[in-house]
Amino acid sequence: MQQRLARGPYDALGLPGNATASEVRSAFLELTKIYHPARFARLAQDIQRLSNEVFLSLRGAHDAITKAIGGTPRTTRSTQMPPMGPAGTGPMRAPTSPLPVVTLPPSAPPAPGTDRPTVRMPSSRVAVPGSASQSQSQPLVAKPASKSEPNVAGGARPPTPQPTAPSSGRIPTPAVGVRITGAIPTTRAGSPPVGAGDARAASPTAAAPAASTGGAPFNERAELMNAMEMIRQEQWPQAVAQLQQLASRVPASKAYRAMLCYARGREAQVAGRIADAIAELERALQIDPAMPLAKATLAQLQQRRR
Amino acid sequence: MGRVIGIDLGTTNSCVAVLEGGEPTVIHNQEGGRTTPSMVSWNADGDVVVGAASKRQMVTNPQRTVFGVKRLIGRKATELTDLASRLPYKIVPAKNGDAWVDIAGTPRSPQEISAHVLAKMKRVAEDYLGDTVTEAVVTVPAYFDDVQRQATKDAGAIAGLTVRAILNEPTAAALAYGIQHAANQRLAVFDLGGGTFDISILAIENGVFEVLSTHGDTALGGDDFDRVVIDVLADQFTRDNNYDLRSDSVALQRLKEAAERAKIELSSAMTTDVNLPFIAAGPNGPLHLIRELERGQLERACKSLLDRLEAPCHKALADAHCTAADIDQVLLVGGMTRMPAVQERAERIFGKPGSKGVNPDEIVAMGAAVHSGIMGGELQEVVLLDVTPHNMGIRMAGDKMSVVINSNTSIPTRAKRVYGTTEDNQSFVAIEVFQGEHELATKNRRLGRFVLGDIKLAPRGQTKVEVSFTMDADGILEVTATEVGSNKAASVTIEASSGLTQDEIKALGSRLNR
Repeated sequence: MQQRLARGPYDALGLPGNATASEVRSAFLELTKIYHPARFARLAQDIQRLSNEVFLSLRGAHDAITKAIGGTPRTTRSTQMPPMGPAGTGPMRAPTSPLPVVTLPPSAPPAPGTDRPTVRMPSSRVAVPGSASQSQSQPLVAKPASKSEPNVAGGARPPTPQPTAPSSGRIPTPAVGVRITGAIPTTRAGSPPVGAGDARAASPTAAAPAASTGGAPFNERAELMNAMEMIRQEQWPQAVAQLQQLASRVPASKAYRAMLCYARGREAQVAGRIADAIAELERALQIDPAMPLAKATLAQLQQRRR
Repeated sequence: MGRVIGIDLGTTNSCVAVLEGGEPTVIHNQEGGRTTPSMVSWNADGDVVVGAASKRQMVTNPQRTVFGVKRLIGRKATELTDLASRLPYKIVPAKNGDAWVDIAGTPRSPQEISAHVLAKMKRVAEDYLGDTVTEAVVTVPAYFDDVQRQATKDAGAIAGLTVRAILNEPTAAALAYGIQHAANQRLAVFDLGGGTFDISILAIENGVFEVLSTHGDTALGGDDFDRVVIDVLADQFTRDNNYDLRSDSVALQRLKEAAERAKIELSSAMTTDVNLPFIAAGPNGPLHLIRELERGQLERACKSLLDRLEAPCHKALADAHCTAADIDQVLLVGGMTRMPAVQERAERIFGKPGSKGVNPDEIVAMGAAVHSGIMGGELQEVVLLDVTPHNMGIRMAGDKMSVVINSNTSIPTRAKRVYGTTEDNQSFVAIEVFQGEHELATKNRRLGRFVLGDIKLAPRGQTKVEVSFTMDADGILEVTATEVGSNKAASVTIEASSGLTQDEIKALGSRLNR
């Protein structure tokens, strides 16, 4: 999937440039059956997030081609997909941006009552990170907005910015009806996913701006997709090699290390080295205690041993 | 890996199924029933009784027997004052305003009460499989919002179940039907259950089940039809005896049971007898309610409820860009679709009779089991593309709701919009995220808020912020705001909270499993 996704929509769907609408549709449906996020719902959260991104790319490819060759994209009726792949590098067939971008004429201030979206600035509340790069650890304030707040114009810089909290993953007390599980700036290029426990913090959108600047030689998502495919096909030695590479490229990711141990464990299991298998699976669980695959295999092995 | 079970957590009845050899199988409960009443009672000595046993003691223990808790889950007490006035048990507001149930002085959350039902379904499955079960797919009405979905997940956690997916009920029904009728086709799933009405239009194409649109009414279901029967009977009784049975909780409970039974009998018979001797004590001795009820009477009394089925169906067809003639098959789901007048109404809307050969009480749980097979890889040739049922957007000046993801958008999805500042030298923007169809943001469900600060100071409208919504296949939303032309950005993952903290969920869970 790795190169395919990066090379543009036709390659993503595994089709020649002259494919017909119905070929595009059935290629998309077949890939949907393999890569839909529901297929990964029992795996670690990092993997779920990646499967989400891969599927969005596949659908983006389907919609872009369908639009370019004159059909109506069926999968996306009211909201458009972002273009897939690094914009400008892949041979995108649909030159127009499918995004519903609402731009404001710089000279015309938004008039009240028009349909133009504007963001109202609450002038008296303070919750401003010192800079975006600090905002990762900035507790997000989630107080209900006060309706009685005066809609003052000429909003000056708010008073003292709140000090940023240490990056302990502290999450603000949920306000009524809200649970915020993570916050991350989207400024860093290729920010690595963090451990499965706080996988929500690894924003998939973090990769998007980075990808669009182009030129990153290491495509983490594609590499992980490859690894997942190997795991799905139970090609353990290949999976181990692939995951070793991933884990060394992204040493911060607990999930990759846990997956690596899991793959080693399964490799050992297949080779009949049960004690090694158990040791590796236990290591996987030490790194990521919530890894259901490892838990289940380990339980099986231990039961069989007894 | 352990088995993932499929649970239809219904308003009135619940059902559990597993996938066996690629086929969904409904599991009998310990009492031999294929469905279990979604009822929970607390005895005088504090013991919890679930299912049929709870239903049996509803008449003798009405204040401590909870039914239909699905109508309360994820809702505020203030939204339910009308419903509360008609229930024999007492609804109280929790500290955060959520609707809880007062059981003999102890307030209990709907999540905890639902957890007792889910735990019962878990035990039913474990007895059958001879193995521990820790994972489930649980179904909810398609029109549930994120808070109600999260509350259902939390109920699962209390019951010791990791909810791997929250599946929409009509979608589940379509999955169960579709794996046996695999041809490419368009389905309308007409789901009238105990508490809610959902209509979904789906296309099945080469094994991919794609939901095209969904609409519904979360306050229309079998309970409402029961109440019409109760009113017909009680109004006549008041005229005859000058005694309102609805003001007497024990009498009301007996009346409710008799009304439900009469309604069900009138689905097959043209007349039925309601026989409630000694239902109340009047000034001149005991009073009895003994009379005959005709199907025609029931249908006339239910006309306004039946009328409410139409609009969601027409909206769903319009959103799916098709007409009734494009629908190949109408699936009738939910016990209420056994009522001939409901079937006639569905036939009138879609121009064809509903599908026979589908068990409306079991098909949803079977679909949940099918979905577990999709997740587990047993069913390689089937997958589901669902939609988000509500608009998602942010609040703008003047409390206007700016929709970023429209309802009936296929998920996962990502959408972006660019916004300008409204004031000169504005230095930050607050992004407030809402879910719902109302034009005024604060009339919708508020999901969260975050701030993008330190943006470029400029005359109003010149600094622009791009807001991106990414929704995954489970409906979990991530919102990112980026200043256009700079790298400044802020992002949050927003998950609705059911109002219980993780600690509370854990504590309730360990109490339930004790």
